[in-house]
Amino acid sequence: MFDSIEIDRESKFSQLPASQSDAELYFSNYFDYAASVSKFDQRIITLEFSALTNTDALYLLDKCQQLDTFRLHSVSVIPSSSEKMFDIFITYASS
Amino acid sequence: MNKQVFRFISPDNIELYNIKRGKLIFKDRIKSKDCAKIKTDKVILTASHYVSASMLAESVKFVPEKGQFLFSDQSILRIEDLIHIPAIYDEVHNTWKQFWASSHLLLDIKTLIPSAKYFYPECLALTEHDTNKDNLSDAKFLNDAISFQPIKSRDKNKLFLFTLIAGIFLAIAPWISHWFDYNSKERLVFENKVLLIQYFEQLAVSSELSGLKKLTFNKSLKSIEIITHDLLNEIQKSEVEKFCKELSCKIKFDNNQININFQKRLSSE
Repeated sequence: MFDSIEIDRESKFSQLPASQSDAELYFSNYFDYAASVSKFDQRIITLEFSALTNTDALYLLDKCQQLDTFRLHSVSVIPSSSEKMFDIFITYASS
Repeated sequence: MNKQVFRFISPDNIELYNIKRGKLIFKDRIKSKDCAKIKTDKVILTASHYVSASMLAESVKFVPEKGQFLFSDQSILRIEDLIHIPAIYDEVHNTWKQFWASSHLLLDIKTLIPSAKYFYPECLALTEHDTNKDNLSDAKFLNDAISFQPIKSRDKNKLFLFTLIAGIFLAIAPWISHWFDYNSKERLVFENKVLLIQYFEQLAVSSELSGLKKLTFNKSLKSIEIITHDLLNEIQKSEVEKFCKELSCKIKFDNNQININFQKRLSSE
């Protein structure tokens, strides 16, 4: 990594789901795809979507930019262990 | 309410679709009498229910305002019955295109489908539509496409409703400022469009990047981090440097890792 993540340590999510399972339900419903929450605290939420086809990966890339309730911090795309599949990591941060 | 959409062909031929991951999945073909049971506010209009026309941008010579109708000489509808959506600029053909429909007709459809609010011209709301199929299954539905939104109400009790709402408004007026302050603190809206993705698409083409191991778009730092399986060759490095010079961004190479920072360019993002 060249730079560290810059997140305001004082700021907290204004509309944070109450628990990690609530967050998974909320984001799975929003993205219409099973979301796994790998990091969850008052300042940062990271979602994982695994083994996506090219079409589904593009759909999620587009969809994550449309959500305006949380600030989009970063999106990572990694080729999946399955051939021609991708894993996507989406991180939303507090303000 | 948002996961289904009707496609209105005729009162006796209405298709119901589920929206799954942005794509339409055909569910059922129903008649108008069954529509009231299904709660969805979206209706796709087939081509016979609206009209469209376009004209060369040069002949307009101004940017049309949202409420402006450009084709009054081509419409046979009475102006009070006409509902239109704002003119759309087509960059490829350098034209202004506009869609319009009969407000009366849309309200008649709304009577059949009481929950309907947004009426999408079919050719605006769909992409990847296989015209060989007899329905729209697998077509991509553009939820944010522009739609007709007939606002006229036929409710005979409109005046009564208005008076009632005005009465309630006056009654709660002393608390409104407090409520507004509370909500403005609670509801923050973020602009999450990531322009970095478009830049990466340009870069990937110009420098023929391949063998990606990890790709990260960091909107907070306004940077793209690219990790490849193999080291970049000199030609690829040169192309990346050329790209960065043109876009005034900073670049760092570290073995098979590239970090491109757009801080200067995207300072307003």
